[in-house]
Amino acid sequence: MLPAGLQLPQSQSSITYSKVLVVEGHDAFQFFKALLRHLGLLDKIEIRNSGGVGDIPTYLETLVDTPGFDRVISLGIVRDAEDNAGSAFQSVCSGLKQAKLSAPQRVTEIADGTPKVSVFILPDCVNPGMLEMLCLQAVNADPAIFCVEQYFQCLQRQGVTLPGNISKAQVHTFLSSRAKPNLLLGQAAHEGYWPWDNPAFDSVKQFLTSL
Amino acid sequence: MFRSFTIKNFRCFRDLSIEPLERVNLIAGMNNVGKTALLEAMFLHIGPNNPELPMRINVFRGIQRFDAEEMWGWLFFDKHVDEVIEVISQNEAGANRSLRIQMVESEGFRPAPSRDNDKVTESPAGFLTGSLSGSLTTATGLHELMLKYQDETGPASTSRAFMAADEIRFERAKLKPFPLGVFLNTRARFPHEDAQRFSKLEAVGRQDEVLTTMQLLEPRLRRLAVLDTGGGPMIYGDVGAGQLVPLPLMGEGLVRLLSIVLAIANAPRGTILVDEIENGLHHSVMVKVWEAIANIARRSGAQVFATTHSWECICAAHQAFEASEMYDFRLHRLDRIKDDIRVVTYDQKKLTTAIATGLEVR
Repeated sequence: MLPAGLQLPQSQSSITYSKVLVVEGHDAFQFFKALLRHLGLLDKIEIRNSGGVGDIPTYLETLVDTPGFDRVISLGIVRDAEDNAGSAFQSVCSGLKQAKLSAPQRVTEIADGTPKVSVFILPDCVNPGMLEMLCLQAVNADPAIFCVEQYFQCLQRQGVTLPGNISKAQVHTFLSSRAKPNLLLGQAAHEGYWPWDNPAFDSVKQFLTSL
Repeated sequence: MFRSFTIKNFRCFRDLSIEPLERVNLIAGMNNVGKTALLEAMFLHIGPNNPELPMRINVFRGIQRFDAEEMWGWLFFDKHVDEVIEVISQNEAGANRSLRIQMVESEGFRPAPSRDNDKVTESPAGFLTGSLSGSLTTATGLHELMLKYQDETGPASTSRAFMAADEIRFERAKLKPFPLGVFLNTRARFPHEDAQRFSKLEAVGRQDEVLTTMQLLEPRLRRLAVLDTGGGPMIYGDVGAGQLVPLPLMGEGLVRLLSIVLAIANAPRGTILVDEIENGLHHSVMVKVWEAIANIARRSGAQVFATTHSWECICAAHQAFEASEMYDFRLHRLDRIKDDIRVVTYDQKKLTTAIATGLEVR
């Protein structure tokens, strides 16, 4: 029986597990839920979705006041780098300090304290980007990727304005090539469309296992 | 209006502080974490020269024991009757009030001019003295509960309740009248008090304030009236049935909401304490009910403290206050951490975040 917080992203529940992973958005929630299941950690790490507020400091301040947080020994926070991985990391750290939690010095480090805290900035803690880019890296060798690239080049040649977020569009296009063509990124993770054994996922898997 | 309370050595609280307080305060928390005890501490504090209150709060809980140790001993944290209970408040102007309650060996009787049950008369010593007997069992030994009250307007005063022979006696210090404080618990209903409060409002033409709120629950309700058909005054309602119907026949929710609204409307600058406010109220009317409570509380200058277990009740309050002229609302949750109880307070921003992201606040 999973804790309520793991069953539905928006369920009102106390914190049940001693390890908590905070992610941003429904897709990320489902993606990490599938990845934790793959790693055999779904009954050890509780996922919480901070999406919907767009304000990590306030979310963390509220999270620490949630019933059960006093029993948390390890807290992991995952967010997208967007334009700059360093800025995203600093933003999380200032939120941690505001919530009176320990903040790691560097993105790969674990900050000691109760709870200990670690941060992962998608896609790889260095480059700008987001979860979609990580997934695209993992399927880079898939034959469908050639077609995805051709599709967007074709759009350009036809003078069609490309979407602002090309990674999201590429993920949608790639997923439309699968047996179930209408899944979102998170749903695709449960369907096994992201190859967990690809080295692109190594660092994020290491992050999760070290929580 | 109170801005903070500190409670020491009372019931399950070793040392608890709650702040900042707002016009309307909702208290959440697990079972047996002290929500009702918090209201009780506030109740004692707002009637600091009423030595009957420590006994009355036990009666509200269904405890009708009248030996000193059982009656008063459980008021003290872990029944440590050698400690002093302290309830200290600060109002919005920064003025402090303190009530200290102590159990001591009784000094015994003091001269009292009247022995009439439940009658309160003034004694030559400057105290008001009354007595309560009836079904009370014989007291064993002499014990006394001292209530020492102090504020910034004058010297400390002492009221007391003590066991003597076959009765409990009370001495009440004379103090200037306090704003009305009302405790609406989950068990008892007081239709006579409701009728009195409604009559007071009707006397000044404010009955429609109450009627409008009651129509949230019963849209057919056209009129409320106090009738005394022999068993004492009671509020009746006109729902177009050809004759007035006693309000209790219209459901628990209606009676409950009426008691709450009447108490708030009749308590200028007073304090209204409501245990389990969501009882009997359908979730679909909760936002409107909170809007009504907020408006009536603002008009009368009253402060409201209510407990709840209901997520829907909390969300409805948040929604009502977000849409109102000001967010004069706080949610406070009591948490038991090891052997202590602490308070977590949610302001508008935190409660918005918790609700949007599904974080538990109850």
